[in-house]
Amino acid sequence: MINEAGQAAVVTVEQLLNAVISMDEVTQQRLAELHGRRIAIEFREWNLTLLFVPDAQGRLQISTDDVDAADATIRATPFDFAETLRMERKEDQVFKGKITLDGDTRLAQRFSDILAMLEIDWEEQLSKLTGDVAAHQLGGMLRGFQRWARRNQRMMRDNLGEYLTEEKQLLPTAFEVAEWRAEVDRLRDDVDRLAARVVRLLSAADTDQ
Amino acid sequence: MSIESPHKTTHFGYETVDVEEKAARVRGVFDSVASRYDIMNDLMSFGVHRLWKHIAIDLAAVRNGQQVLDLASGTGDLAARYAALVGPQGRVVMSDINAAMLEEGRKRMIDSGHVGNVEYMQIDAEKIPFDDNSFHCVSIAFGLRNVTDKDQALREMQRVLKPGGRALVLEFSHPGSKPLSKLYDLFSFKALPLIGKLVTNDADSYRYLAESIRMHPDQESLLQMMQDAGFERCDYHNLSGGIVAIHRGFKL
Repeated sequence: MINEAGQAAVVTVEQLLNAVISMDEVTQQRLAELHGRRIAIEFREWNLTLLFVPDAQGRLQISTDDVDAADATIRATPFDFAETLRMERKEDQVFKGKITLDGDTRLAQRFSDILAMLEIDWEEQLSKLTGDVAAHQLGGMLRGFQRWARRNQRMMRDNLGEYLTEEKQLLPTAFEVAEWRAEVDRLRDDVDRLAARVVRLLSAADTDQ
Repeated sequence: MSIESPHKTTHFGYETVDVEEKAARVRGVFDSVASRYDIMNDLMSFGVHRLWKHIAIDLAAVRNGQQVLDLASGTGDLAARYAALVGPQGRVVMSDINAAMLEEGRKRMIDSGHVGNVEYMQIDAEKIPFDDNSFHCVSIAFGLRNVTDKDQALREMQRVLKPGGRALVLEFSHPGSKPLSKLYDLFSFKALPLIGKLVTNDADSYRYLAESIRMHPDQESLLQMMQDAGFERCDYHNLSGGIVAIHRGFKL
């Protein structure tokens, strides 16, 4: 039985994704190099697998076709996918086992790298509507606001941290936490050594008898 | 002049015409609508034809490096998707019996960058100019009902398929439920010719489209025709309550 509503959702997602990709020429060119390769993405908790096939122009075709025939498969929970997108070192997620790659892993890696590197030049898109001068001015204002917001966010974080650790002394400082963790490590090692010693003494007592 | 046997007839919408005449009449219809075919498809199906084609592509299960023949390609919606799926090593033959439609489709394919693995041929589905066992997949979307000898076209599709290959027929069909059927009749006989008149200034062509859909064999009859043509493991999927059906058959 074909689920038409599900298919309609896939068609919509495909159109939206391609609209976004079409705003970044470099991403389109990179995807076009993978023309005809089949990359499956499995969203574990949703029990959903989508197959992505780039065409010669770097547009993506998405389907729910037989994913067994995919050249590469990327599996993760939707939450882990979202987390990975935000991370600098994406390969850590693979080592932690949060994302698994099957089949042609280089293809899977390349495909996810291309999507992660997607960068839309909003100023260029805006200039199509408003012209270059207005778009540049607006872009400049937005960048200024972004810098201001980032600076304020950093300042607020520092101030709050200082208030909680130094003035109210509700939280330990980073130095204290590091010291405490080192002591925990030392204690664990001591316990391990003691356990090994007890085992050795017991076995020595056994042979004496 | 040789003495001819009484003329064989076939249907052209609700009219009965000579077999020789049908192809010319169908050509007339598509010559008339070619340039606005896409807009009309969207209006006629409320855009759902994209969804139907998407599902057909899933059922076609075309793979990298395969050879695909798309008959009655029209403006090439299916062919464009096949072109992505077969990759640079594959080949898609996009075809139509109507030169105006094929030219329109070719322009659109080139404009959207589908070059390199697509060929264009004017092909009559009843006489496919390829050797036996040439393609992994042969499809015809919204075209079979315009073919004069449908059985012959199905036999030809079966002939050019490689063993293991599959054929797909996406076509308007017969809605399963009575109320939907009534609504659909109202839309296609009243609204459709009116939309046709407004958009392409050609109500007659769209009246033909509506009538030809009614004359097209229903799901079970077409399934039988596919089996008679030599296809195996045939099945069909009703879409949008049976307004459209996708028939599928394999050559084993």
